Amino acid sequence: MRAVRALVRKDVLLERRSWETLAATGAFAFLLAVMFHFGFDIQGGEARRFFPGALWIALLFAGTLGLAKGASGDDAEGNGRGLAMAPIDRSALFVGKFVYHLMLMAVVELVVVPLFLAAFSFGAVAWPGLFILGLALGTWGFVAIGTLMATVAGELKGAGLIMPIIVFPLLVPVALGGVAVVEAAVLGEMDPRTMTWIRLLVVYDVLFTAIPAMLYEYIVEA
Amino acid sequence: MLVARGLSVSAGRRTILWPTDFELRPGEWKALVGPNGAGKSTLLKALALLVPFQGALYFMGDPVRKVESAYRRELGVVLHEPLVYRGLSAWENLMLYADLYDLDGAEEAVRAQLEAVDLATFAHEPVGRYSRGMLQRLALARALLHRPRVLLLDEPITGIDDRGIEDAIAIFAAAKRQGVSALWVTHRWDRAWSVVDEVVQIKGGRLHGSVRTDEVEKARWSPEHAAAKQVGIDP
Amino acid sequence: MQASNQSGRKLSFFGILATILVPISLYMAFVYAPTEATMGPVQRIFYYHVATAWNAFLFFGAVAVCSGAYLYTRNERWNQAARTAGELGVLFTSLTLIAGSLWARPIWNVWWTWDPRLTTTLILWFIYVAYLLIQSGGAQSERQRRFGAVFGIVGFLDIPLIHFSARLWRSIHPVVIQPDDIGMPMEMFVTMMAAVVAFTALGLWLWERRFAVESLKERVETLKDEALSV
Repeated sequence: MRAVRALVRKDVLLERRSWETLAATGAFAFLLAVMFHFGFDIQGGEARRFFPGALWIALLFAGTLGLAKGASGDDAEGNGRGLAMAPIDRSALFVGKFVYHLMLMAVVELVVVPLFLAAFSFGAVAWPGLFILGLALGTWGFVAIGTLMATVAGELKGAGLIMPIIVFPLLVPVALGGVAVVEAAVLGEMDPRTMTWIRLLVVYDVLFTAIPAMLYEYIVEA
Repeated sequence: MLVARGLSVSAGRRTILWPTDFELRPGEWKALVGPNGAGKSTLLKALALLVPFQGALYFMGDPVRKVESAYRRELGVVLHEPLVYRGLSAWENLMLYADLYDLDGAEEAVRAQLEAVDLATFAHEPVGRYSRGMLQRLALARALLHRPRVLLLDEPITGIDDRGIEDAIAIFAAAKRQGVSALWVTHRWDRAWSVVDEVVQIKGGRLHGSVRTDEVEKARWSPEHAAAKQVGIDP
Repeated sequence: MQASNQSGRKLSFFGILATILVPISLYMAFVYAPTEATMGPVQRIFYYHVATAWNAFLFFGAVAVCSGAYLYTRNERWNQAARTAGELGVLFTSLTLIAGSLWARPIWNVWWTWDPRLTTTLILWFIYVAYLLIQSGGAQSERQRRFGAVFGIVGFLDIPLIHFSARLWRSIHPVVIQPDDIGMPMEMFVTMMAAVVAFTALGLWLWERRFAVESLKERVETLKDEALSV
């Protein structure tokens, strides 16, 4: 839809001018990579076991930071109202933000994932296809829930601070699923459960993308 | 064209706007004046669907909720905030709105609007660098871009210099001739006098008097004068 | 003026129900039900553990439903109902976790395990707490209420997924202890149901009272507002 493309373009343009969100998110993830590397202090084969968990922790924490920043931008100048007054589908507001954050996370992961692979002394990933699938499904679910919560919170005072507390319990399926699939991909050990995890992630993604999109008119200004 | 019956706004149990009847016919311009906190902006925001309200609102005979998209398409709103992105240029801002309002010939329309408000030379500067007056002119451009049939203006010419004001009045007059209706909320009713058909007073959340500009000579009327002499209709 | 809840002296329907049912269930749990063969008297906690767990999930459902109603109608009373349900939900979830822990210690010799149901309950607790955090503070903006309502609904929808993922995760490591009693004598089953019903009545009564208090508070605020704005 034209509106969604316009909204995404708007956010991309704004980000390109300042690079604030990307820089903060990327820097945080990078910092975590370094800290994990030294904190866990593991050699070789041992490291592989921690990799999936550490990666997802870093992505989710850094991503939540980026979400909080992104949401307040529209609201600080009251611009959200200008958008809300336009004759567009309410769901377009959600989808626009969702696509933008997805793009942000994709860029962050492009940089951070190789970084983590290096920090954990990995040569190569056993099954790259599955690896990317796991990352994609998990990120999708995370961005869906995160975008919903962040846009509804907007400029609420202290929203940025409590956002992790609010979002993380909801992300348990994403975290567990993401780790399980990435682990399988990295170790090259497929398991009947892996398919179930993938199915769970898909259900989660569909549920939490479709519901906000459908209910957005009740969620945004009356 | 726009008819409100028993429109009221409350926050919690507190009533900000008491049930109000209000009407705008095609080509009709009304100014709304009143002290701070009287509810002027609230009425405007209710008509703009920015605050929840009780009561009925009809656009072209249909309940607004039923034709919400079409209504929004015909609304041009100027609020206290300019509603533009400081990080983008005027051009990018207006192009965004052109897309949101699904305009054909977006580039032409944007260019025309920028020229009309005399911002063409600075079209590609980030808006964050604009002066107050320039921001206001951009807000006007944004509101008029999609050629709405109803304008809701909250202090639209504050902060603009005299030359700019003349230009704005000219734009308003032209729009009025084309059948656009408007609600103009302001303290400076004298500026609005030349354009509007009626000046309506509001106080304590209630409308309480109005004056038709063609009936009363401007120099002889002021809100205080009206209150003292009970000029106009008392509901 | 509303009649029944203002006086505070009369017991409402749920109050009466609770007052009758709770002592009955107490009797049943401690006297009527037979002592369990392997676990001994400690097992009697089970009846209330199930009851509070049921309430915990019931009230979360209530939060979701009332939040949905709030988003649809924008009537603040629905949000109040949701918020008070949330408070009771935290209460019952905490009780469930504590009772479960007390039961686990003598039986399994641990205070906690990462059994899927416990994990889900713990996360439910976190979600409740997050919900209350959002809804806290007297003067709430409409946005804050909406945020809380959305969270309440999303959280509720998420719970089955969370539980499913906890179970799937757990299946990697074999669970040593199965806390489930698949078959139980009729008396125990009846006692359990009695406890559930009694606690449901108790919970609903508490909710009703809490909601009444919140309503009164809000009326006071409104009266204050009106007095000041004159």
